[in-house]
Amino acid sequence: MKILKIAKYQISETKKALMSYYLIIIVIAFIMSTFMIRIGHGKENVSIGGLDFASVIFIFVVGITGFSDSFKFMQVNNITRKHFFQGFVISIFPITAFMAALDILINRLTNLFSVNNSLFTQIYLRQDSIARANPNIINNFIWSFTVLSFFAILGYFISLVYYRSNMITKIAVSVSPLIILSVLGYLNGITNGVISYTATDFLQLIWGFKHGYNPYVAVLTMTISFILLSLFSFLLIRKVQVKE
Amino acid sequence: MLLDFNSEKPIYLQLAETLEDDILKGIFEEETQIPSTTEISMNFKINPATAGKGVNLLVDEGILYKKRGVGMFVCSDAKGKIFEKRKKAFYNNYIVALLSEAEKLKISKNEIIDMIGKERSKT
Amino acid sequence: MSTIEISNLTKCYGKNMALNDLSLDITEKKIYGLLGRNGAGKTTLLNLMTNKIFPTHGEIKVDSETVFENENALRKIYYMTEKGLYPEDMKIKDIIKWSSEFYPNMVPSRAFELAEKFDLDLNKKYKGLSTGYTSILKIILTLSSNAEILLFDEPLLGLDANHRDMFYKELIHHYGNTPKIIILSTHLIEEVADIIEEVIIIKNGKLVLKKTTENLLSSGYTISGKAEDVDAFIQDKKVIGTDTIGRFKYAYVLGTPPSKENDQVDKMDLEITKLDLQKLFIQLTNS
Repeated sequence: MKILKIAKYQISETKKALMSYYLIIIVIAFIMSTFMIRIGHGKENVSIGGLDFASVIFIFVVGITGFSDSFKFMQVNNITRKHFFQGFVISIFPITAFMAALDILINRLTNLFSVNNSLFTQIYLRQDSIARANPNIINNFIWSFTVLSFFAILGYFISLVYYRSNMITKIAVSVSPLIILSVLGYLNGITNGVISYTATDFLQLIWGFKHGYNPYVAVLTMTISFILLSLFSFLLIRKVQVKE
Repeated sequence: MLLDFNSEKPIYLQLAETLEDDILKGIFEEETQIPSTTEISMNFKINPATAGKGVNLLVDEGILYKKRGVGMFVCSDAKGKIFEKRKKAFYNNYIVALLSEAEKLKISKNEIIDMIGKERSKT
Repeated sequence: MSTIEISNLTKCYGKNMALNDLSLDITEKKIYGLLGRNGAGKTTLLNLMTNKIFPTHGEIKVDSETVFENENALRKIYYMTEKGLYPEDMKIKDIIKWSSEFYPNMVPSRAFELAEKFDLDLNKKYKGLSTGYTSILKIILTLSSNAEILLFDEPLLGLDANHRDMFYKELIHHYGNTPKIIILSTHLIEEVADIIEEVIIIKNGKLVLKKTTENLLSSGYTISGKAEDVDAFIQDKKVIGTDTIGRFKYAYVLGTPPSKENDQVDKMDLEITKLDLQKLFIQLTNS
């Protein structure tokens, strides 16, 4: 019971931001598609797309902000860390399901009078113009839902790592991706691009477009990553203390 | 009702005396209810246990009695009892102390009586 | 009937020991005063009691159940933290609403009633409150939580004299209606001295004493008079401390006070008064 109340709290905390976000997205989608109609006259080569990429960023930010303030409020209400975490994880799904559905809806509506390719169609259906004009909505939904859910927990996990770190670890955590990237870049240079080749290969594999185009490979990757990040987050959250 | 928190006397004793004063003055009539312990402690901002102790002291002395589920009431002969008690205390606190001080200062019994007479005629 | 058992509690921050092997049982429904100087470990103790932080050693149990990540035990406690842990942008009425979701025994109407008494604007955001009103909000939540154990950490922070007075009255009213374990941690000892029934004093993370206020104050007396006379008097007595103002001296002595007829007291014109909690506290916690 308590866990559902915590989830309810998390959702209500996101509601406002979610509403403002979609208000902006709808306005942008509307302006862009009318603009496209005027310059493109429905020609195929003029199109908009990737609007739902903004949703990925948005949910990532929701994840990041979902920890610190809520943790304090849950603590003042003597909620255990375990329940707080379970409540957050449960709160992710209705939010991401809602977003996935709304993204598809906005996409299909704008497609009525211009060409608007969703992230999903751009990645998995670019070879197939017939499918692209009429993508499988259920596949698109499941794919978006798992991707958004993954980015939510990723943001949460990162903010947890930050909260648990002291100043030095915080800097180390922030700087390490840059260092790793530049080291890899250097190695890439001296190995004639082996690293970038392998990385692209790997990304294509886990996102499901190495051997043909299969969004369900990505769904599987995202689900496994979600479970792993949840486990790591749970391990971290169990020992989080209120800072004095 | 006023309590002196700096006095040497414990607060519960002061509270008991204040309640007695109020009964003597007729603020609390015999067979009427007095404020609850919580009300008293809220009023003076003292611990309810302290207030309870003061009230119970008066219950033990037969000045107050408890009506189950209603509250504390003043006994029908409360005034008389308080007068008796205070008279006894007057003797111990004032007369005995007066005579012992008088002995030190070598004041005779007749001189004391004269002094009392003089003071009385003033009022 | 709730009980709190604290056994061998130690909390270290790096090399700094905030609490040092502290054991304490709180079993009776009373208003307790948790007293100690800054940094004595009061807040650390309260934070440990509510699973905000974790002990380095030792354990805290409520009704024989550990408080560590234990919903059952934690639900019995409402803790008014000194730090504001509420979301900055949340409106006061929403804070009350959500708090009563998590504390099923909380009575929101009681909270609203108290808010009106204290003149707290329900439509304000948390970040818009002054220090005093932040304290008031937290007091209101604690008093209407109906939890079995109430912990107050510096409840009087920023309150003016009127609000302090109202707080004491509401606290006593609440306790009078539903006796329970209430712990007040505060620096304003003089003000709460008559309200707290039992005193818990800690110093450098250790328990100094836990005694009823009455027993503590009757365990000694204050003697005052001319400095040399007081010195002569206290020669063979157990003195816990002295204060000197010019040639006048106060000595705080343990033991039963001498009777008024005591020749020494009488001749030297010394005065005997009761111990004062604040003075006693200062003497006991001076290092």
